[in-house]
Amino acid sequence: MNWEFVIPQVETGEASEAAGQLMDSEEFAAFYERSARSLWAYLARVSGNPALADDLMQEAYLRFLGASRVADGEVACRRYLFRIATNLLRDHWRRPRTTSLEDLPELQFSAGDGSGPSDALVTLGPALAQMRPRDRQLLWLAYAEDYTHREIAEITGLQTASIRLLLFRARRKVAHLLRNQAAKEVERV
Amino acid sequence: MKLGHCSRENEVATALKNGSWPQGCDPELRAHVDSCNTCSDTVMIKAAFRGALATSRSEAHLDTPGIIWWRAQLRRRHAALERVGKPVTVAHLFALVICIVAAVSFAGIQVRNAGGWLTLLDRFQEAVASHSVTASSFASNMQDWNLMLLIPCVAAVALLGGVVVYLASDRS
Repeated sequence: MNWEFVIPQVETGEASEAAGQLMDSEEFAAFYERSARSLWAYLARVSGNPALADDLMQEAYLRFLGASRVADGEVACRRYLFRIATNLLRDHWRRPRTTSLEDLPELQFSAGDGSGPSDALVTLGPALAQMRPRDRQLLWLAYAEDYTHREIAEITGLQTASIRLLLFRARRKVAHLLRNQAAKEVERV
Repeated sequence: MKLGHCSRENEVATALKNGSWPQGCDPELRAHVDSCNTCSDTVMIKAAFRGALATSRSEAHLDTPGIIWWRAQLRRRHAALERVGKPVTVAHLFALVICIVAAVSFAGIQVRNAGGWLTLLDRFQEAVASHSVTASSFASNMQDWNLMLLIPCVAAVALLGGVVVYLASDRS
């Protein structure tokens, strides 16, 4: 007996329940178009690995669509998506692997299309490479995505007070690194 | 505790967010940023991250949303199948255990009645040996057999066979 014939009834119930809570394919397509590039940028710059970002982004959307309940509204959905991506990154870092994230070459932070890294990535890439992954996350969410401390706390699962302190330290460090980078550039010129 | 806080930092952040920095904002704010370490850091960091974001966004190679949607549906379907499959597997195991218990019990009963079966077998062999096996004689012998034992035996074999075929076809 093939049980797949039984499933549509089960699925129909689930689908109608999920549709009320989530979105249909067209809504998802529009949401994907608006959010995917930002999510990829976050994953690629924080992980320093564009190939990993591709994989994690796909998994993040699959989990997002598989969630039984998501908060209403585009902003909340986007925040939830970043939260999933953050958890996936954390899981990835926890998993034992041959290459440590800290050991990734700086080239990982450059553009991968062969045309060479852009000015922005040349400036920020080496600085980010010297930051801890969590600091990269916090800085990216705060300065690239414009999330508030409360929103970052929601995404990362940390306390708002901790975010303030961690972000202050990360910001001080990245500012120092960027200034050094700029000074080296001036000397080179 | 306010860490490296400047009262005008939010103003600077808003100008950066709106894209009005530096030309579109108050010259007095620009002068403040020049003299304030916190605000100048904000401008520098924000500019670096916004630039990196813009570059990264253009680098992204995205799948079509339809593929992601389809994969999500497939995953949901698979999860639903797994959920439904669990009790079915339990039912399979339960049926198998019941069948085995029934077969073992039946075998036990038959072992006790082995004497009767042996007698029947002897009589059948005698009949074959005397070349007198006809339909009528066979029928009369059949009547002697213990039908109460034969029918459950055949039924148990058929049931077990059915269960085995069912499990094999379901697994494949």
